[in-house]
Amino acid sequence: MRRLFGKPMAWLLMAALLVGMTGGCQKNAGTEGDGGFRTESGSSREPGSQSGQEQKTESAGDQGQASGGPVAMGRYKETEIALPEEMGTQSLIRFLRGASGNLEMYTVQRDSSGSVAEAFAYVYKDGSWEKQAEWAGTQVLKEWNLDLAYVDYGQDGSCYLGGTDSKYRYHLLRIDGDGSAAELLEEVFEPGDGREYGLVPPRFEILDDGNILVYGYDQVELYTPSGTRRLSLAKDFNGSTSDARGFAEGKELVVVLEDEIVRYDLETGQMTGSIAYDEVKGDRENVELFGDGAGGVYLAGEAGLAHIGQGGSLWEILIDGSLTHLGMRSLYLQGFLAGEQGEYYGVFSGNMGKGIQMFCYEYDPDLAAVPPSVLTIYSLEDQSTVRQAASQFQSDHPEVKVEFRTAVEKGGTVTEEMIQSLNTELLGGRGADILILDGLPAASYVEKGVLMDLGSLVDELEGSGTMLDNFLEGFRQEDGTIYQVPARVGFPLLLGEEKAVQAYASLETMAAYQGERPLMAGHNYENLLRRLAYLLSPELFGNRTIFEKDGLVRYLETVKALGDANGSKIVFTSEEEMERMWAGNYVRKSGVVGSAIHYDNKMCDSGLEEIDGFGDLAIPAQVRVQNPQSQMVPVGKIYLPTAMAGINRSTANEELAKDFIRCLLSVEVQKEDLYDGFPVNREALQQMADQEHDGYMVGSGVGDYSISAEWPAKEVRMEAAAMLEKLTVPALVDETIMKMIVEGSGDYLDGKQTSAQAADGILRKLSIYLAE
Amino acid sequence: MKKRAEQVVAVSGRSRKPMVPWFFLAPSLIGVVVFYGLPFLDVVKRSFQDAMGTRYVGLDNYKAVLDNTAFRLAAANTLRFLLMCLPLLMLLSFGTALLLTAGAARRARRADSKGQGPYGILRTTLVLPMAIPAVSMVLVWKIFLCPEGVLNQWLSGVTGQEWQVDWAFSRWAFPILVITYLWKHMGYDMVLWLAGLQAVPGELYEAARIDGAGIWARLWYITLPELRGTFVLAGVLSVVNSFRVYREAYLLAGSYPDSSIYLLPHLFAHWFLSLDIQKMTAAAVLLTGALGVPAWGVWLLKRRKGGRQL
Repeated sequence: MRRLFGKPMAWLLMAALLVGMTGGCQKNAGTEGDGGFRTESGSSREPGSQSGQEQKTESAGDQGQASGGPVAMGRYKETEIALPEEMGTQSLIRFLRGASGNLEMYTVQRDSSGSVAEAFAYVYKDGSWEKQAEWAGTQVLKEWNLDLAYVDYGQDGSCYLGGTDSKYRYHLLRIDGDGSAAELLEEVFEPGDGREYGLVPPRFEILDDGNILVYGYDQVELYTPSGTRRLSLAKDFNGSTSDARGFAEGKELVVVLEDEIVRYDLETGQMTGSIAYDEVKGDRENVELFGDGAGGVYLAGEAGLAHIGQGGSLWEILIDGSLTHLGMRSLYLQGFLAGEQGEYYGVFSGNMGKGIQMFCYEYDPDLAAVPPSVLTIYSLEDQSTVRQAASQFQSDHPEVKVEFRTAVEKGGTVTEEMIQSLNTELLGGRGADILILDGLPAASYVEKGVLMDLGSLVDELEGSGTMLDNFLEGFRQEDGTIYQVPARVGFPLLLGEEKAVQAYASLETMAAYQGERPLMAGHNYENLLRRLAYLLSPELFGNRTIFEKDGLVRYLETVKALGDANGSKIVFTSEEEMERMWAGNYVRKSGVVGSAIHYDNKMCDSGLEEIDGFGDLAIPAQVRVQNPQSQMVPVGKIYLPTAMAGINRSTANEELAKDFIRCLLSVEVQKEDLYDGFPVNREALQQMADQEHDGYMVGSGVGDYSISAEWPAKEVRMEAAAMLEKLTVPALVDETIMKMIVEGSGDYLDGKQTSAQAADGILRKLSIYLAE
Repeated sequence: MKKRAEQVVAVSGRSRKPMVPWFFLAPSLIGVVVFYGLPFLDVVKRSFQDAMGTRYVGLDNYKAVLDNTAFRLAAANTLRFLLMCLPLLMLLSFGTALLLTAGAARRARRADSKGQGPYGILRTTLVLPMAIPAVSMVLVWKIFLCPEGVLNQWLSGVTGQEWQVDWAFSRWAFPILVITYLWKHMGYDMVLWLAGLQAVPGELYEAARIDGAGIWARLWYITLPELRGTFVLAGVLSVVNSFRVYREAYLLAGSYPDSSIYLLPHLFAHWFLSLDIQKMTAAAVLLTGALGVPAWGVWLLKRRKGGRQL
């Protein structure tokens, strides 16, 4: 018996063991290539449960998806809804379902000082928006002289308005049937003892029983209509005074507390549950929460629309944000609502709250759940312009799913393991189609042939005459090839009199500078080391000055001399930080920490600012006005490139990838001011420079010193645009070398070593690094 | 017909015998072949190709690696580390194991003793570093060795002068790494030696004692010959463990430590980071050769002398 079955059994067991061992090696289409990455793909593979989902077997017909396999069908389709033309200059106050059940929008027109000039009401009927000329609120607001801030309806159909008067005091009004207004909770909004201003809530909510919820900054309070406070419930403050995340439904309040969504019982004030929502909120804080009428919660935000049922623990992603305008960085979600037929509506505003856009999301069972073709983009850190381009590209190519993968979440730290993980993919002939090379070993990738030559693409773009060629040409190799292009640029701006400005020409002139005050403002030494390295990168790195002992010693001694003069330190105490006007311990990559105010306050002979947008010019321009003898110029021809894009040579989507680069550098994407740098597209730069921002105001001050500035004047903006056209030298600093210098120079800068000893120590490591 | 049947039985009997161990070996053998053997063949192939594996470059990668001063430094440091640490580790762990065995045996002979007493505690103390995570261990070392650390404070107190030496980045970095390695791995090797010592038949020592052999004679003629297998095992494992010391070196002094403790794993990590896979594979093949050839030589020598199988 044993002879009969023993051998076959042994083989059988062997086979089972082998199958078990190799089973784990099977490819999983859903997870392939995701190791080590945070994927922003969302999951519209499981679309709305309300709408169901079909499975059809058909060829994907594209390289992005295995052909012939079953393709999940059904996805929410985004359609833009046209808005009245005049809304283009208005700001949205509220988007809601009105008492009649129709969608309504309340907007205001602001004047040049930023005050509300007029308020409007619009109702969505039969597929179009109609302005309500007879809206009673217009008259009430005029009578009470209020800037409209919020609108809501009560259960009885009464309209409630909230707004501030000329003394910035909040008033909550109920408009009765005859058009008259009655003020509610008057005492609640009165300034407290010794205070100039009272509470200005970002939101209020009229409950079914007539009670009123008032959203404060870090709490929500429940009042009876007569003004008796019944409950005070804690919520998170996200740093914005307009934060109003939350809603009430039935006897329950849903708000965000300690980075979780929590439910409160409005009768007892007890917290009844919490829901983690990190996985569905995206990188931006502004999300919209609303109820499903059955105890469930909807969350709309950058990552898309997600839903969780009452008592559920898993979020269901109904709309993938990356496939729609929800993921577009230039738009800010202002309101999101469920329609009556299973559709959803989202309203967005553009930069500075202007330019309202509305989209409808309807389930389409004939759309593939995931677009059949996939274009992947990899970046170590999030990049607003790249994300904007991804959304734009998605919008232009509905058949393509753009996956933007980032190695670290917002505020995370990039580690060597992340780069090694990417390298493993690249070596395997995989990896993302587009690589955003910031922080990656780009020079090594070029040398190894990882990146595709973009020469013909750049020639085509330059030939169109729309690009700022000086930025693209900065990356052309000697043989004419070009492997990476910047999508954004910044530049260091220098303020000072001629003598100080000229001192920035070289290491020698900086070291030799003799002025009334120190040449530049003091900060921590790492910033000072970095500042010189970036500002003088052609001399220090291009000419390999700091790779030689003499050059390195001169560099360290110059930093020390500048630091001794301006009181720089390795580490400041908190008291010192205030004394020295924010000469703090934080470090900027370029080392250029804003110091126009230091210059203005006569603490140094020159001020430096890193300019990443026209808004950054406001303070320096004001400082120049206050110091008419000073010049405002770039440092040499240095610019700071960011969002460096390259194409993976092993991509299977070469044309799509090239189209994406075109999209990234197009006017549509480049014209948006996302606070991450200037456009590299001339037309976009012009459009950005033409923009006025009424009411824009920035200020700064310490102790007796203060300064404030408005949006820079057109002449200043044009001056900066002209400067940008003349910048031709990208500041390229090897971060590994920079790290060695920072680590190796501490003892010298602290006075415990000589410059030669520090240089020897650095060079010992540097020589190994260079030899590798 | 009967003769033919006997032949068949004889043949199948001969063939079945050597097959049985292979059944048991198969799972691990397949694992080794699939997860180590085949990837290593790919490494060998890549060592003759350019970085992205698009074209063959002959021996260029090997030339580049052998000409590379960083490789030469790392290889020399690694060799120096091996030559210094291996004998020290083997001697210290063997000596400790001998003392513990002798002490425990003496205690066992005493009628009133219970358990292993201080010898058990000592053994546990020596094995304990194995259980401490490298990160925790390095943190303690850093507290001890940093410029404001315990060692500098103690020296300042003793000498009356201010000491602020960053020991991990000084010329003392190499001895520090050696001590770290010995401290971490001595317990492990000691356990191997203890297992080997316990396997030596007690009758041999008893017979030697009756024949008048002294302690050194017993060590030389009984203990050491009986521990030849353990010696090879401990040696091989110590060499393997010595490459893991990179973890401690990296945590203690970062990616670019003092040049005296810049080891091959540092270089390999940097090459991987900069995608210099062609150099990395060529160096890996060279390293395998450098370690594999002596190991193979030892194995051949052992077979020729008819030494005991491990």
